[in-house]
Amino acid sequence: MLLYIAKRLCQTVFVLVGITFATFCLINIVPGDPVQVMLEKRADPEMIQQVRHELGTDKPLPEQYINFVEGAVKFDLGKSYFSKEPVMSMLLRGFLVTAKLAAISFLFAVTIGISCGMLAAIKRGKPTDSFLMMIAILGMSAPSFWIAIILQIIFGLKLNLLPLSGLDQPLCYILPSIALGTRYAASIARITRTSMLDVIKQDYIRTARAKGVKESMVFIKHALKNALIPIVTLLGTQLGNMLAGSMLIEKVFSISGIGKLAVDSMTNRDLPLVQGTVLYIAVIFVVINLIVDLSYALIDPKIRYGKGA
Amino acid sequence: MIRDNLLEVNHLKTYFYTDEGVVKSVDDVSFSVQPSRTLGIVGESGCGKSITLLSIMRLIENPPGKIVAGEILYNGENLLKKNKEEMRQIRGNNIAMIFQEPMTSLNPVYTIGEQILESISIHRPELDKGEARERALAMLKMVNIPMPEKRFNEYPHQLSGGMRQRVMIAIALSCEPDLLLCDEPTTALDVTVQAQILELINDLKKKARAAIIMVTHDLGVISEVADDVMVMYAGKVVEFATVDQIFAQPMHPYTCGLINCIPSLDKEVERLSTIPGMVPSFNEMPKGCAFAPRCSRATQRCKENMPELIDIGERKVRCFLYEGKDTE
Amino acid sequence: MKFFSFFYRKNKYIEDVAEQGIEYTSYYQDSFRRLKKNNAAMICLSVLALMVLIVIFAPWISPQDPNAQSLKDALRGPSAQYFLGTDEYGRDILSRIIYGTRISLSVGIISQVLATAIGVTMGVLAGYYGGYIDSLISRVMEIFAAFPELIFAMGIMYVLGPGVSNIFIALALLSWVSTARLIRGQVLQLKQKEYVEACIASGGASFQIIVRHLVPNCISTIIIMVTLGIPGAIMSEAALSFLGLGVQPPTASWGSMISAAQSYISLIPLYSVLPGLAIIIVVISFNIFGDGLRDALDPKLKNQ
Repeated sequence: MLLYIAKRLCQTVFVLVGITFATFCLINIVPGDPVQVMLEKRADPEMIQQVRHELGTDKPLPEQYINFVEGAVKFDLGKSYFSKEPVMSMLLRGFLVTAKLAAISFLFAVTIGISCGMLAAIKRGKPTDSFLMMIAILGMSAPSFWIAIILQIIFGLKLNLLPLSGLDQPLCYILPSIALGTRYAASIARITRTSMLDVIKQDYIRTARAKGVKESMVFIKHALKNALIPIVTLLGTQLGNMLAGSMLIEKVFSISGIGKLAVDSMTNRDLPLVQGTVLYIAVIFVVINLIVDLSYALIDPKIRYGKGA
Repeated sequence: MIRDNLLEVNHLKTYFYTDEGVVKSVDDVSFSVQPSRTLGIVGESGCGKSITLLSIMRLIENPPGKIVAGEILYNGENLLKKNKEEMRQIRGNNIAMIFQEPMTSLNPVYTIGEQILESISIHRPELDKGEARERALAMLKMVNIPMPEKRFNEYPHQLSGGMRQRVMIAIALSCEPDLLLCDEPTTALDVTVQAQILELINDLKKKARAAIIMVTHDLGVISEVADDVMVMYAGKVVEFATVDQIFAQPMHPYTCGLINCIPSLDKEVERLSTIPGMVPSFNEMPKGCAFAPRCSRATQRCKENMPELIDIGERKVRCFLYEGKDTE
Repeated sequence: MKFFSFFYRKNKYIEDVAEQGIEYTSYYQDSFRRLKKNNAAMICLSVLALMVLIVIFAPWISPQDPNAQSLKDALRGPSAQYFLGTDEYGRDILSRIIYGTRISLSVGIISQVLATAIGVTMGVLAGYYGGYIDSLISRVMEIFAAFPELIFAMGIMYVLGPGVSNIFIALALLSWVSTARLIRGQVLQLKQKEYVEACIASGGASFQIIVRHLVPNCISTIIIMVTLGIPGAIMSEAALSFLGLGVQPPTASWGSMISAAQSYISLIPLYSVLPGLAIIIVVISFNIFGDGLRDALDPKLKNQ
């Protein structure tokens, strides 16, 4: 168990270093001088030189990289070229908005996904199963931003039930959360069903039935816990993807979260902000996946007792 | 001698409906079991032995499987007429089952203790937690598991195959069933462990006065535990007799073949005899006797007509060779 | 109900019982027979074939030039001249959707072929040589997998700049990792097969072993990965173009059409609905066909 955690932590540290390196490369291979972009070509060479010095971009690359990692660890990535606000405070503000939205969508996706997947598995081969899986594959194939617009048209414009944009009241969360969560709910439903059907074939399920366990408990107590590992793996990746995917939804509903920040920074070529958003979204993603891997130990005693590591 | 039947199966037919056709896994099978007796069901793989047991438990997957006809009388009540809830109350309580694969038959994410307790709490809800735990520990002791308190909190993967099968037996016996169905309980185990498990099952029969149905392809197992023997071939009963009769004087050519396959230490033989060929698959089932293609004594008639199961005293056999001897 | 039969999974018992009855046929014949029986997959295959025809014959099918502006006709509803209405520049929506098929399908297919080329090479190298090469490639894959899909694609697009050919590269870089992982695992398994071991033991050249024994045995995995990767790539392209980081105007792409249409949802809702429907049709066809292909070629892959 300890070995498993240690191994996983080492790997995470390595990946984190890799991420900083990748992000650093990302910035430094962009064609065109960011300082020129920033000063919009009006500046004279002397001024450019001065700004470069301020930003530290006149130093050799290895030194710049070390400064970058140092900044990343200290949560200080400089200021935005445009708003002159510290990158970290902008990120934090955006992240809080996005995190709230993603959390609600995630809950929505998990509840709907797992229950529909279970139901389909229980009714395997029956019309309920086929119907749910049709919906799931439809949900997986529709772009989230398109679902968002459709929801806007139906519930915002035609029925006039829910607000079209913003996040200033609780009702505002409904449409964005559904739009963001649908795709994930669909894939969770599909993997839950597959995983459940796999587990249902196992001998210990037959044992449970032979013991006289209620059919509902056979599914909930005996099958679901065993089916959980592939589901949880998927959940981890999805929570991360949801954070990134929220930028599409944020655009539709004019929400200023971290996604909007990422898109704006990229279209404006605002280097520090690009670095910050990409880096920290990846870091959060990695940390979530680490938590997921460690949570396997809670589900699977084989990992807890060191055999499955 | 007439005894009260604990379980009486009459004309049971369990079919599987597949894309390729209907598989008659259990085809018109009848037998009965009495308390404190063990019925052994023998046959090669794919003869419908396990499906017979699962049919009694009503655990046939539907679709594709279905019990299409017959009755299963348990204490005179037809199990096929019970609804799901009634059946659930019977399973694990009155009728319990032990499976072939101890390695995979226990749920890997729950402790041994939890799995025994579950069965007790379902069928004996009147027991409080302490009593239930006491009983579970007693069960573990009864099946000779060393250090039951320690094992109680362990997970299946921490136990050996033999230990797991003991746990399975403990679960099966935890509610004192009067009918125990064993589906090749020793096949996956080492020879020495096999002997221990069989001894345990024999002991339990004496102590608990339960009836046992033991499904196996191993005649050695049958000779150790069974009182009566039923031989199945391709979904049908081909011979029924007491264990002594079967070994002393097997009648059906298939039974003879099975017995000749057992290696013997007494006789010096150059090579073991085998039965040529395999159990026919459902879509190449011969018109007549299913065993005819492999039978050295088959006649033209065997190939064209299916013989009936005929009574010879207390025995039964499905073969034309014994026709006309049935009335004595 | 026949259409839904695709979702029906065979039960263990049927497979056990059925195995005895099936006569031996070659692996691909058998797979093809299974695929042909899968009605949903066959319907989707014909939809995809239709899409390919649309891609090829786009100039002849589209009623208008997709980029011809006519401001006086802007944002009109469906009419005889503009079958599905017009956008904010008075361009014909139907023609733009037809031309958008070209972008979507080419992005999907080309990026996945590229991804497969990278993935198979990396996977075979890592699996076959093991040791340092394996650790190096595995670490690189871990870093690639450390970014959420969309952010990763955006980052690459940011570096390369917008444009269709850059989308090919970005999406190929995004999706090679999963192929490489799968192939690596398979090669590791294959390496332990007797005939490969025999080949290695008898001093067969590595290149020959890889080309003769390893890659051919991975073909079905490769086909499945390409087919199931395409819908993901199409979705990513739509998302990138929607965010303005993908296909640039005036080229018609479904994602950027939805992006533009978003401002006019109250005026002409059809404008945003239609390109989305086009995406769904293509993506769902690839998904269902890919699932069917996977079930037919390699039932074991179902859970990966």
